[in-house]
Amino acid sequence: MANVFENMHRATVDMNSKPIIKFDNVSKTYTLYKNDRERFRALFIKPKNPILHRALDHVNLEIRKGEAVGVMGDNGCGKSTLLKHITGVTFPDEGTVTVDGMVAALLELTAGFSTDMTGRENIYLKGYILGLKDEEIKEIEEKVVDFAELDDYIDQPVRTYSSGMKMRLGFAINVNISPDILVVDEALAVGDAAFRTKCKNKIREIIETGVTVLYVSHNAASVEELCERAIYLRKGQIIFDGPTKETHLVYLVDKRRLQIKKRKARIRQLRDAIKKADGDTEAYENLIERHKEKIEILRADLNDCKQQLKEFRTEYYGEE
Amino acid sequence: MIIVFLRDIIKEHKDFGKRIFVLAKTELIKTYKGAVIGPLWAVVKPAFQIFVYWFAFSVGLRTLSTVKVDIGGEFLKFDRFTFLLVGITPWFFISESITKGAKDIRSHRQYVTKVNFPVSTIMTFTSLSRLYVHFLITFIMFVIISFSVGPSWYNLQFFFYMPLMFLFFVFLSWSTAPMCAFSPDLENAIVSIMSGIFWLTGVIYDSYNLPEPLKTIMLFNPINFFVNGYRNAFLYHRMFYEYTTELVIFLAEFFIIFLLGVYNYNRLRKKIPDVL
Repeated sequence: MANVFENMHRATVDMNSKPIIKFDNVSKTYTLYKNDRERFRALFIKPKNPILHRALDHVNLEIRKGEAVGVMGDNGCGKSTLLKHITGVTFPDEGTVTVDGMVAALLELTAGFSTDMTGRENIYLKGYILGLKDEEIKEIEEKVVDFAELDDYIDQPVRTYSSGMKMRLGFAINVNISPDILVVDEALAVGDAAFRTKCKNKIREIIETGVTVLYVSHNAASVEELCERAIYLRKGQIIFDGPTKETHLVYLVDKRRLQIKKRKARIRQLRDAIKKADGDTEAYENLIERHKEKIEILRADLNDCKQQLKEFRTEYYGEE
Repeated sequence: MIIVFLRDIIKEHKDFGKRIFVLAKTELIKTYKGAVIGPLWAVVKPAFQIFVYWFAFSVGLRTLSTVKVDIGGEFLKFDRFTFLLVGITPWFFISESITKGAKDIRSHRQYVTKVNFPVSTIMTFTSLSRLYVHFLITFIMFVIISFSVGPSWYNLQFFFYMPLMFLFFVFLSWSTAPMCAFSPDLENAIVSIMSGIFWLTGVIYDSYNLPEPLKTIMLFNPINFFVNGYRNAFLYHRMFYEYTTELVIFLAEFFIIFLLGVYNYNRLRKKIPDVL
């Protein structure tokens, strides 16, 4: 990926302009139902002690036109929920989300196809669903067919397509509708190598035209290449928002700290277990030793990250 | 409050505009695509059903081959086939609308969970696609009736009953579709009940010709209003307001279903993406 995004020219961002995406104190809580019966009951009466999962916790975020913003965080930190609010699929419990423009999402590329209809018919169907007019779809139709490289297959039912072909069609439709905001969630891992490169080039091209991009990936390197700015989410809260490199280091520091904390807690547990058990404690002690060794490694790693962070900050913000 | 709720639904439709018709067409294509005789199935299935009922009641139970209808003191006689044909025409639309309408959101889940889509329009364009089929069946029925009973100006009342029927069942699906999105139990319940409702509705028999209090109770079944309404238009040649009790009861129900629909749709709209 590195070579693809190298030397790329980014559209300039006017920091004084009105934000194109704005999260104002947004919170979202999912209600988890114990079983189907609970969910059925919730239709008529409010559940008594529901299991609540807070996916977003008082999130404030402003993204301006032309920015490319990366989103980092572990699984279940609220990344997907954040993106869903931007695509307008889900709604906040508290606060407001303002999105000013058309959103295209490279999330689940094959979703929403009607498999009995042909590829061409599906271009139209998808266009209608996304809110395009007939003329607008006609304009992009040939571009999509070209990009997807489906040739004669475009007039065959989608059910006859291979999964790679479906993805290509999905990708081609989403990137060609000229959106104002593009949301990408690790969707680049589709198709064969040649097509992957083509996708990356297309995304780069889109960013260059000044489209706002939100990029979610576990691969920190690709986020760094693509985005100047990144946010770090933990348990639904934005822990850090800044230059991608800095965010990444903050993320690493935080992650190491948490890992050390976890291991320390485990050691405490094991010590308690030793106190209770009489006699054979060797196994426990071995475990403690192993955890201690691991903590040492993590500490070294943590210090390394801290050092890098410090260096980056001195370089980026000047001497202080 | 209802007005605020309704405004959202109207806005969703206004912004969506012409695309509702295109998506209705797409629904039809989706249903009949891949079948050799394609859209003909829309006629073959009901035709076979009518044949079976006609066979059972006119050939099997020969004593039931004619129906005598009491319309406000005046007696009219029809053969069972004609009587059944007119009554079952709206029934096909109604039973499809109730069972499929309840599934509308669940069966179009990708429109709800993948893109920002005006959800209330789903019920409109699917109903519209069913209405196209209804037009076709009504036309065939009209041709047959023209030969046996003869055309009449009263037939134009179709344009009173049909839109009312369309709206009534769209409003009903505003309640059922979001609720069924939450729980498949409800969906199964509706499908099970509907298979029995047919026999509790005056499609094959005459709901006016029942002993009291059943006769009055039957007036509370809104499906009877349309079944009898189509017969008013095509068989009895009677105006829709002549049987006032039936009309008033129906309009009251219409209003209640409308309010419930608006209420339920707005109550559940924002929760649906999280449970689907």
